[in-house]
Amino acid sequence: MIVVGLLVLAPLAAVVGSTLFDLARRRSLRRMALRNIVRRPVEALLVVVGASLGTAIITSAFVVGDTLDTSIRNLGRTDYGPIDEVVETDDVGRLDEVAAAVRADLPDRVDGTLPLVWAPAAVVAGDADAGTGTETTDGSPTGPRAEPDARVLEVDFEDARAFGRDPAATGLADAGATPTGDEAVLAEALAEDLDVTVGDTVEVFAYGERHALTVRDVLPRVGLAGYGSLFVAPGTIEAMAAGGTGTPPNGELLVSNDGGVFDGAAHTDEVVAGLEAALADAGLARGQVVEPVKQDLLDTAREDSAEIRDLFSMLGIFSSLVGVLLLVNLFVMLAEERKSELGMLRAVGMKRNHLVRLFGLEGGLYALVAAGLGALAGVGVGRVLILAVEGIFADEEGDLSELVFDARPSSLLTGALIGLAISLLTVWGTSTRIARLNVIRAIRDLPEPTARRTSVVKLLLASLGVVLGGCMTATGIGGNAAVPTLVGPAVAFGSAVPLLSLLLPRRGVAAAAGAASGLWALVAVAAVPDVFDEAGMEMFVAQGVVLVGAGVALVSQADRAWAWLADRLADRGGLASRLAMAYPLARRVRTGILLAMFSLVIFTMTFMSALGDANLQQVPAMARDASGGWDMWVDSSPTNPLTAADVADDEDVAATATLVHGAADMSIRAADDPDGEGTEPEPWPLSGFDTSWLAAGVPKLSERLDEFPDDRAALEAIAADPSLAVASDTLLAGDGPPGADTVELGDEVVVTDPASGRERTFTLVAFVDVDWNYNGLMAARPAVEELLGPDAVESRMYVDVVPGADAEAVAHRLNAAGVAHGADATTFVAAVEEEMQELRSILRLMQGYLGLGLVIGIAGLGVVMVRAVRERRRQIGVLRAMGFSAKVVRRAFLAEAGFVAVQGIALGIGLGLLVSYQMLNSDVFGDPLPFTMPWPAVAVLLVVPGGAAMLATLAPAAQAAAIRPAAALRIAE
Amino acid sequence: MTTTILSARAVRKVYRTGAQQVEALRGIDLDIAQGELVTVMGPSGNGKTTLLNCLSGLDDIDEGTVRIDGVDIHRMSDAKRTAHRAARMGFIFQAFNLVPVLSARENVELPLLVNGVRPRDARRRAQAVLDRVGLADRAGHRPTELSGGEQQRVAIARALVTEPAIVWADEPTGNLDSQTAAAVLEVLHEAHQAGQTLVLVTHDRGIGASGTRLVQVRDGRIVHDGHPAAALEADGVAGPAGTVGPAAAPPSPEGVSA
Repeated sequence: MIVVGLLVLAPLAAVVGSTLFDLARRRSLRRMALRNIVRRPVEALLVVVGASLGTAIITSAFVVGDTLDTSIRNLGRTDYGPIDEVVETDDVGRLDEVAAAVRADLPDRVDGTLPLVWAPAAVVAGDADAGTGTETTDGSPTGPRAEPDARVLEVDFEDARAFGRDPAATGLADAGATPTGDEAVLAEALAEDLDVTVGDTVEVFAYGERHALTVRDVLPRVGLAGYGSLFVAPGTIEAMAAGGTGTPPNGELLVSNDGGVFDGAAHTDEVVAGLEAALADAGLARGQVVEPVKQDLLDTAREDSAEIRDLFSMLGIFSSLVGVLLLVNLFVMLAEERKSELGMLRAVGMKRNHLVRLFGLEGGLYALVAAGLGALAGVGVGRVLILAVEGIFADEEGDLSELVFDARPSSLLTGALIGLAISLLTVWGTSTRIARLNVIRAIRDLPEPTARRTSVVKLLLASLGVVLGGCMTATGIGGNAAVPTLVGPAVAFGSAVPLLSLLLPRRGVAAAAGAASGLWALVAVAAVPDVFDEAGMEMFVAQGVVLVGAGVALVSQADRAWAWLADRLADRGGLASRLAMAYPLARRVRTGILLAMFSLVIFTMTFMSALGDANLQQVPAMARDASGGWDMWVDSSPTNPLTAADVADDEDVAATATLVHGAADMSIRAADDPDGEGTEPEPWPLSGFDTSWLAAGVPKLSERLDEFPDDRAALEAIAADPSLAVASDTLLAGDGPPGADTVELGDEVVVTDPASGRERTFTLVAFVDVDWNYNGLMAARPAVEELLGPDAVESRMYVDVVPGADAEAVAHRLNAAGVAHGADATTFVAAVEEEMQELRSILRLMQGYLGLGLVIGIAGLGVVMVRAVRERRRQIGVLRAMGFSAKVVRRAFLAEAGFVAVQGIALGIGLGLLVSYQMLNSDVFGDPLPFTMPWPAVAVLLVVPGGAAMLATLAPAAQAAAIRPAAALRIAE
Repeated sequence: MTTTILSARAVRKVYRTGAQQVEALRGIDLDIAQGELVTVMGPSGNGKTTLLNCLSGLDDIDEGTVRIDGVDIHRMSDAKRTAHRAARMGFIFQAFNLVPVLSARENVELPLLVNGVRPRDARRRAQAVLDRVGLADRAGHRPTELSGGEQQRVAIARALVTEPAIVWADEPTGNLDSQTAAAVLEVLHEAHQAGQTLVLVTHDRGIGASGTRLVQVRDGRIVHDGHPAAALEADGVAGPAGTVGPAAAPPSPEGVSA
């Protein structure tokens, strides 16, 4: 990494240093550079716009990361306020003892503690029996508005306001006295969900009891008013729980650290250690858990925002590469236009390095302006992306359904600097190439002859390239690194072309190198699968770049085939087509760059479309595999769970089965390291089942130990043996790469009940295909009940409907009828479909993001055509003199743009389909998925970019057609 | 009896650049008969190329008429004039002006294809003309692969391939060395001898003397129109010695007036 950094930073420093020196001290260079900018304002604008697009894309990725980070961190203010740590106790009756112990031995850096009691409960607006016609929060057509899983709190408001140093941060500053009797104070979110206000009635359902309350106040979501959703008079929860069934009330001691809402978290480690010591000293270590909630949240914010920033940055690489290609094209053309001028400068004594610096200085000024503008534009692009993300997740119930837009100055600066670095290096690289001109040929504006001999330097560089490519491949395969494994062979094959061309025809060698590079990029995943096990987005980027490069190399060598086609077109009277194809075929490098600009982006967009479509096609099969024969699952409040008797009245319900469902801390101990410490414990769902759950069928298992003849045998064994378990093979993969396996068959999972500290070890003997409804680790019901104790509640029910019944309608009815239980029924088909639609929406968002690259590509084509009109002015004049009509000239230009665009689009679509077919048929995404042709996407990708390319060419084509032959020839002669 | 192909009367051309006006042609009268080889000479910037452009219809005129085959070409629409040019004229330029991305044969085919000749016939005819100018074996090469002389011969082939009524050549040997220029001029003379009408703008006295008629232009006016020898003698030049033109000037043309 350091080497790579140096390889980029060293030339960058040299380039920046030289630019600044020339700007300050080299008057002649500065004057010429500035005058060139002023002389051609339109070109200057084009270069600036082209360079700024790449910067905008990079900056927008940072802005998206900022927004996610700020949004998650904002939860620290809205949902925690002064709360930094929470001491959870498994016995609410012991809460006072725990509080006293902590206060007696208060750790340093703690400025307050606050005990509270809470319970999950269903809350219904008004009278739950009062009729129908309204709707529940999930959109069901009947029943009153309800929140199935509200957090009901008891806390002393006076004490709460004194908790931490800032009463405003608690959210209770203006909340008045602690509720008494039947008073309720609601958090804003719950009030909105239930559509209630001060004076209205709400009913709380828990432990088989119902309790009507009058809303006394509604509090904005800040601090404790975000931590809980409904505040009741002390003693209310305990009174309801007395004698009832369900998970008992929770007791917690909230702890606030020195400092404000965010900076207090800096003391977390010290405070957690102090709290654990205090509890241990008081003999309360067992049964109490200290959770660093604020620190966890901030860690999540940092990790998630970095992840999303990386994702968009990686996608942005495609668009940025297109921006780089545009810059190269623009500068090559600027140089061609100024060729004779540059020749004259050389003739009057300017050295080659002066020309490089002259262009470098001019380009540096463009790059500087572009970096500033691009960073600002990136804020706009980021805003659009955030709006799109909000649209996708608008229906999601979650803490992040509203994002807080944020664009930090540091992000803008970083984006601008990256954009500036890319532009400067591109400009200087291109300038170095441009400066290698022959003085006489440049002055007389004569074309460069085809090189007859390969220079020794070129051969040496080629040999180095072969060695470098070989080393990259070897280290990539040896070190399980995807990018060098994919790129190495392409570097070696590409570098071998000049060497092999000494012995064999160059055209054939180049085609073979392209074919070999592309083939390797396609088969590498299958050939060395271990290398790609942990690969992420960067592998896809590398594969895309190699494939597109190889494809462009192959297409560029196919000029004879195109020439044949051109002849056939001419035979059919297509004079414009013949001319249109002649130019791109003769200028292979420039055409290759344009092709790459199009195909890089189209390739990615096609791949994403195919992936989204393939997943959506799988909805019925996925739902069938995940359901185990059941139509839906119904979650209900753990303090007032739904029972079979509650749903028996619905005539469309054929059968039910219940799971005990809760959460526990889990740690994985690998089978090949049974004495190891295992992974860091993480909270994860835990479910207990018996054979009644297998009555309707069995969910599909992706893997099981060989000792089980079929899936049913494995699941029945687990139901019968308290030491076995089944889970998804991505168990505890919350922060890992998506799809990566975290466990192997035979691994042990150590499960600890956070409340009681009870521990149990399960051996994983099977994996479910996909854990759609987050059952988590599934084990025999008695084992889970013993582990979780009173928290093992039958809060999850599976329901089978009678044949022919509408499962969605039954789900709505169950939600309405079970409102007091907080029933939340979801059909498997709806769950899978929603997930797939979300995935597709995300892919579309990424496609939109990539579409920015396409805009650059289309703009690039337009620019090339504008430049072509200028370059060919004399030739157009001759053609017009010979009798070519203006119409033929216009058509030739349009056909030329169309020829390039269609080639690029076809190449991109072809490669995209090929890679998606190959990947879907491999196990990269789990089980192979059948490939389906994404026809609508293909049609859109053909028509929209193709049409846009033609539109971008309309103006230059009209310009070309309007050229008066005498004027063109007069200037030329 | 000779047939007049081109008849220009009172042709005036003004270039305007902002507030500035330059009268490039000041009332030109000129007739050209079939089979003539007219050379146009004069100092730089005195209107030779403008005369060629205006007479051929490449450029518009401000006043006057230019009739080719009896039709006033400046009264035609641009499309019609372009089609007329394609059918009746050929052009040769100093900088050759071949299309660089097409081969020699493809360059020569272009005017035929514009005129609607079937591609197969166009190919055959192009090959035949290239053969005539001695480039049969270079037909598949692109302009960058040809020498200057070869490029100009391709340009001549391109101008002749449609068998036009008139070929306009603007400094056709200006970019060539004397030996190559002589070879190119030889090709043009062969064409003339085969009956082709040619108008040739040149600075070279030798070439100027090699025509059947010499038109001298100065300050936008024709100051001499007649036998080349008379004009060159009047300029104090004895003959074409040391030039690339043929050794002797042709006899004075008849029936042509300025």
